[in-house]
Amino acid sequence: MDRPEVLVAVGDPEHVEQLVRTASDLARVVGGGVRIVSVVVKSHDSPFGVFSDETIADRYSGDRRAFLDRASDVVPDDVPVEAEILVARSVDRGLLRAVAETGPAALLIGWRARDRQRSGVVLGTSVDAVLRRATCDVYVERIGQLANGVEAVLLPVAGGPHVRPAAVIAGAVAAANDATVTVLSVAGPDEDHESAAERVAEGRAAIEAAPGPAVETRTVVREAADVEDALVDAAAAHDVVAFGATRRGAFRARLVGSVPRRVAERTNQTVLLARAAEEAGGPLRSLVDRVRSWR
Amino acid sequence: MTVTFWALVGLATLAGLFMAWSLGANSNSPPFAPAVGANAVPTMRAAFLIGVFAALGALTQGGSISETVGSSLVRGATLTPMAATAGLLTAAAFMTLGVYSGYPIPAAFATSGAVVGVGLSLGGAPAWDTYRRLGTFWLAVPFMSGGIAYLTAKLLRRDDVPDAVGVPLLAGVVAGIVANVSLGVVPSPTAQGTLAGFFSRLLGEPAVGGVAVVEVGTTVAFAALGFALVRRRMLASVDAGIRTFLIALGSVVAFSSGGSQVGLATGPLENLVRVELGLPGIALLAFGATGILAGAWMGAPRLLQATSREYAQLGLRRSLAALVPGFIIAQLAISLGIPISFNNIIISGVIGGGLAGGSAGVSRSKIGWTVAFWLITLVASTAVGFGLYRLFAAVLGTS
Repeated sequence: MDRPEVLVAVGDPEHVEQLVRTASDLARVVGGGVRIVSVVVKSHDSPFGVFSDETIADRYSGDRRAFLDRASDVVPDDVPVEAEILVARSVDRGLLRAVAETGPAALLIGWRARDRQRSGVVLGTSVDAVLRRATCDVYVERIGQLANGVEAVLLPVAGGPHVRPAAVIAGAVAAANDATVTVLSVAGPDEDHESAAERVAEGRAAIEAAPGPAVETRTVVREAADVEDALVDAAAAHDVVAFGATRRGAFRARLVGSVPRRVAERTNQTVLLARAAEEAGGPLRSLVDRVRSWR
Repeated sequence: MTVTFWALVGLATLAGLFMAWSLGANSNSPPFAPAVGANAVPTMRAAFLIGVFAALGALTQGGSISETVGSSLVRGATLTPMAATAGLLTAAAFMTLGVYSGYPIPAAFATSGAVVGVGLSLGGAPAWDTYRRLGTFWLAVPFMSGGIAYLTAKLLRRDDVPDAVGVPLLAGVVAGIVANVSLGVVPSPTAQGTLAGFFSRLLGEPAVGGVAVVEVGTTVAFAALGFALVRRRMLASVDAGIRTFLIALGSVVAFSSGGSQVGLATGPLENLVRVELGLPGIALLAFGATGILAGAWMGAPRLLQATSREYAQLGLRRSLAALVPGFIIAQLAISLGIPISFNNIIISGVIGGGLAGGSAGVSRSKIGWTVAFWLITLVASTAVGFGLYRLFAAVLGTS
């Protein structure tokens, strides 16, 4: 595909429709295609690790080919689609290699909330690694209910580089469903109204600058004693919430931001987290990755 | 007996336990993966059986390899508590590195290298004859395993050999070998005896023309029994017969795996436990068996789930073909006292079985990398073991 691509990683047949649908919405606004990938993990400890990748994909990948075909059927006819099985030592290595090789515009992955229980892991090991290192915009969709009949998309903004990709996905989902985007900024107790208003204006500008058709946008500035509670309340009135990862800070906050993570845990809505391409790991990180993926 | 001595004993014990645990957790899933893949046994029960059989194997068959690792890798030096600690820590570090990096680090090479390294550091001389023996065996493993798997798969694929004959025949061969495996629990003038030898001695070791007839007779009887049992099941239902054999084969392979692996964890402790602490060898093996049991129960379910699907797709015949050499070669290694990496045997078996079907579909570069990592592990663990002992000696004073 010569056009920009949206790479979507699928593993569990149950969640394919949700992820592929979002990827299609995004591909349509960026004028590109969807590439569906599924990673077959084969460690070197496994006796099957010595088979060639082609053999593993052909003979030892279970019913994954059929599953990818079904996933491809979810993509609407106006969006080009390709599907492939990747063989790698771990899901994140496979995805990072695919990003490095195909240079997609964005990567979409799913996240199941139960993975967060493990200590030191924000969203699950694979998702964390991809968020840290993939050199394209990364979207993480919380696996849950299918957002059928989306009417309202919430875009909470708190400034920073990740507002741009969050606005892109909010716009894409809204455009596909004729929905309204609400750009929301919450001023905490020690913040003034003006800076929150500035952030909302930035968010609106990001929506307007995003590719794809114009979508109906409204802006809301709210003052609240507890930012998190206010966001949870606002989320309840919307079908989809698109967060940008928050500003750099502690390690965890750098990946996703503690507020988006906690809000995601407290709502049942479809949640999308966005991380901008330019915030991927630095030069040392990418050098280390290159050495690791060398084999 | 100073505080340092007991601290080292404690550290060596922990490192040995860790080694046994990781051996149990990492190298014991292949025996039952085909049975789980064929739905002959549920995952959790398979993991339970793996732990039990591997621990039994460790207890009854682990002595020979433990001794080789503990006393035959270096000449003119016995492993002091400090050396045992340095050796086990080195091996454990390599195993951990393997788990975290995803690189193939075989335990047999990591432990052997580490023990050679500390032994040389202690002032011992290289035991070249032992290295030649180990090297020859290690080089022969892929060919033996691949060859046996190839022949087994060929036999099972032949149209003129029905499954109700081919599979019982294989069961007969395995049962015949079982009669001749060395076990620590069989009463014998040597440390480990075989069942065939035991019955022979019971009847006064009669021989005709230099052939120990009772030994041969026992072997034949075992083989016939194995054949008959599986044959009867096969005739009732081919599926049930194959499942029975898969579980039986899995059990003896897990048993052999335990017997061939435990020595890697207990070998470096041989001198410490038997000479310095004056405990019997069986206590050391029981210690290792406990670690293997715990490792298998905790680690095997996850690995079984991951690999059983592949064995299911490999097909029943090729799964059997990959396991049979695992059993035969592990037993051969135990009888010769040679430490081996169980996974290497299974890998070669899977490839050999694949070749019987026409093309194996293996990647040359992946095999090249795997072999390269085996060699790197051997060399690097020797160097690290050598250096670590020196460091210990410099920091703690020689002991």
